[in-house]
Amino acid sequence: MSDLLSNYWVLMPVKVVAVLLIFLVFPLVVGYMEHKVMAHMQARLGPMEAGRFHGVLQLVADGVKFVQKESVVPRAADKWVFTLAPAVALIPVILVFGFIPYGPELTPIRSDVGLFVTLALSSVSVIGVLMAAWSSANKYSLIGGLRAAAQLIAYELPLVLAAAAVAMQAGSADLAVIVEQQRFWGWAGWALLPLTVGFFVYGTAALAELTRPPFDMPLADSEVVFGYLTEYTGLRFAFFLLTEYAGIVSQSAIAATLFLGGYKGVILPDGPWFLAVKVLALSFLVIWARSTYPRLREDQLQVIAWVRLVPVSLLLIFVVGLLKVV
Amino acid sequence: MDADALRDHLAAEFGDALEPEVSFGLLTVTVEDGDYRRVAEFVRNDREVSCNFFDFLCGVDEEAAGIAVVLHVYSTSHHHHVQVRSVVPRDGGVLPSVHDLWAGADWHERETAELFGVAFDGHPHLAKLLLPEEFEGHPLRKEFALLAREAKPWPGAKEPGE
Amino acid sequence: MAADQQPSGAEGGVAFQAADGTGVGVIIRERADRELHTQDMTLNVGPQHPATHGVLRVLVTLDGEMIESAEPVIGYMHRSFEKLAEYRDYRQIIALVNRHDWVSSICNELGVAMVVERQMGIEVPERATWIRMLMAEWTRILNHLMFVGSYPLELGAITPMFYAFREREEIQALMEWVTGGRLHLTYCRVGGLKQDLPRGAIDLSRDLVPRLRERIKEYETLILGNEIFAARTKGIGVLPADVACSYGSSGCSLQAAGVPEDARKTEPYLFYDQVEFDVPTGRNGDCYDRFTVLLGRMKESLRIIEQVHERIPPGPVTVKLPKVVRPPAGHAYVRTEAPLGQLSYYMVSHNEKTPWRFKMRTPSFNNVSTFPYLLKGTLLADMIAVMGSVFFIVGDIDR
Repeated sequence: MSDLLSNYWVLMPVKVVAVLLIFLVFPLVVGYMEHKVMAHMQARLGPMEAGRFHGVLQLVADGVKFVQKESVVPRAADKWVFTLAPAVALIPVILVFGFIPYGPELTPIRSDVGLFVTLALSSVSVIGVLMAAWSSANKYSLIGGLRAAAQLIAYELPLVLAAAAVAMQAGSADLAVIVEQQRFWGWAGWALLPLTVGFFVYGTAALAELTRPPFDMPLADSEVVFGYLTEYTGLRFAFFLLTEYAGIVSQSAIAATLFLGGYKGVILPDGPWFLAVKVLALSFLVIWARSTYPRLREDQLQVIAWVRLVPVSLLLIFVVGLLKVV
Repeated sequence: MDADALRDHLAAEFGDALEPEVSFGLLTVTVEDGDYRRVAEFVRNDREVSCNFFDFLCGVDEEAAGIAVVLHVYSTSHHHHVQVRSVVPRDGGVLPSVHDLWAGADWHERETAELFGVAFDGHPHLAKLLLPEEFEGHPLRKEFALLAREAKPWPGAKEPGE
Repeated sequence: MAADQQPSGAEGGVAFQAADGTGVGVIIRERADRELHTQDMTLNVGPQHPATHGVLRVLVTLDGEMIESAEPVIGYMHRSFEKLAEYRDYRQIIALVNRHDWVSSICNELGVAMVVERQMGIEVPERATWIRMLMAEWTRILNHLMFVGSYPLELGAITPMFYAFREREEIQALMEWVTGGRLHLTYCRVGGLKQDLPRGAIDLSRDLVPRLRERIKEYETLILGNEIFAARTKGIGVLPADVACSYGSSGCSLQAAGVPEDARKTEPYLFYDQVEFDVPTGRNGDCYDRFTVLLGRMKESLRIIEQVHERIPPGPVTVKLPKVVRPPAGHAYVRTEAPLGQLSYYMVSHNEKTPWRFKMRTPSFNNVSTFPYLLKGTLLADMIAVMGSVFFIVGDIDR
């Protein structure tokens, strides 16, 4: 059996299928969780009908609905860019799932620069957003797109810097190596304090990268209808939605891997189940933030990025470096 | 000040130019359209009257006499109301605008202009406010029939007006 | 073609005439203070837009994200109530007037009943007056809850909406029990009320008060205490007191500017002079203050309701009206404090069965006329915060 699996041409399709399965299942779970968690926070029940038991098949029903919708491309829109934008936004996120360590020796794509590649891939989605905004031929989309551009670029920095601090602490950009160095709750010793700060920096930056509330100015539905997504319906819209939830899962997974000990756990042997628990916990926090906070205004958002987060993360790198040397 | 004292105060200033009337505790002074602006300024600026709060400005169709424009203001410091009323001819009636005294008069004058056909001199932008641009006629004038009743008579009990 | 340049009187423009005598144009020189030649964008907010409550259109001229000018375009919901009122029996106007501020119907009806009663010299029974007060204050809370829900929603906080509507449902249950309706109640009549309170209604009302109090405290923590909400609303959309008075802006906008002008206090109607309550005021006149005043008004309404519970005497709730209601000739004016601001009615009667002129001065009309002042120079992102804080209902603007 392991002979078979060590054959590259057998292993590769298995990995691809595994990653695709994770990509297809987890975001749906998180999406369902969002419906239910937000509902209960708002004194209501959420989906109850689809799938008999408390609406478990709600997202499947939504998927079917999106698939059978009419594909509308506005006449004035730039057809090719408009059509390609969801793909450009979605595919990098799928790829990110390939780099995350799911268990000891269970990283689909093991690479010395895994962290670097993951961050780069999540940046490619930004291009998809901009493509969507510009090609929509709609003033509201344009405004949403400009806001998105400014926001996403601004928050790249704290994201990368915080991740760089972790890479420094671990001495490697290989995600599997980073996890191995941690305890089951995260980092031990002197590194714990600065990297906890780093966790919050990374978390805030990741929320902003995902344009999740309170950073969802680009999608502010009370102002710009739906921002860069205004003209999208049907399957293309479903892809963007999937990008968002897959983004939540992937960013939570990366955050868990970098700061919370990834697949490491206690009592039971290390494995993907611990990672799953951590990812769900972080997703819960993301959903909680959505139901509590109003939106930050665009300039306040920028102030937080440039004036607060960037100096903090630079300081973080300095401190971590110092501790490493000392 | 109560309405009677206000009336005396205004009469002392303007004498015969205005016809005051106190009805249910409210003072209404009727003035010529030539004096309208003067009286409005006095009501706004005089220390004892000092009506700084703009309530409304509306028209009342007085048939043969013309169209009466009623300006109603209030003082937040003295807690009294004053109505300044001026009757303009039905055709080509013009009154000076008071939008520089009370900013709220801007919209109220536009509304009165479109609903009654009274022009306001000095108003920056007397465009239609509530009615669509293509609308013809001045709906609140008495000769403008309620279209719904003209198109189809009321099938129910007798109309109060009949 | 060769151009023959001569300076002309046009603002910064240089007139030129082509050498062959064709075409006279004016070159507008680029403004010295702008290096980049930008173009102002005109954005139409509405009439269908998630943020505007109903059909209100605001024509906004933008310079980047800054608003140069904003002009509200109203009239999409104009239903000509004033003209219709001239064709209605005095008692029928109440059903029309419900529809202004459709979230608070009793407060609209009250003024109409009062102005006709004043003109006719009708004395309303005490019980009816106290019950009118009770219902008016519950209606005020209903209206304010609506905005407690919708204002944070516009800023992006989706949760208070659900809590506010949960409260509204509880109060609506009381309203439905007493009046039979949820939205357009038509409960006030000229001379009193439509019908008496059902047995047990006061107890239900008593139960609701402490619950509402608790919830209002929760709103203060959830919304006013939220740092992002404060950052989005403090210092934004400042309406100074003198400007507010000049526009005739009333209600929360005026009180937030620091002017404690409330018709219930300065010219008490019904029995408001026999109950104790305060008029909450703000200091800066910004959006945060307006929302604080909104919550404050709710608390004061609860105080009034509690006092009214103890004061309702037994007795009739209506007087017998003649078959034909014909007020004597003359005019009458009534000023009430609707939840949205000052609602006044000016009625001219020529001793006929229908009014000669029925002017309805609605609060939202004046409040929304402050938009050009408020929105000039604000950021597009703040536009929603400002527009939402001037609590208005479109039916109230257009009548």
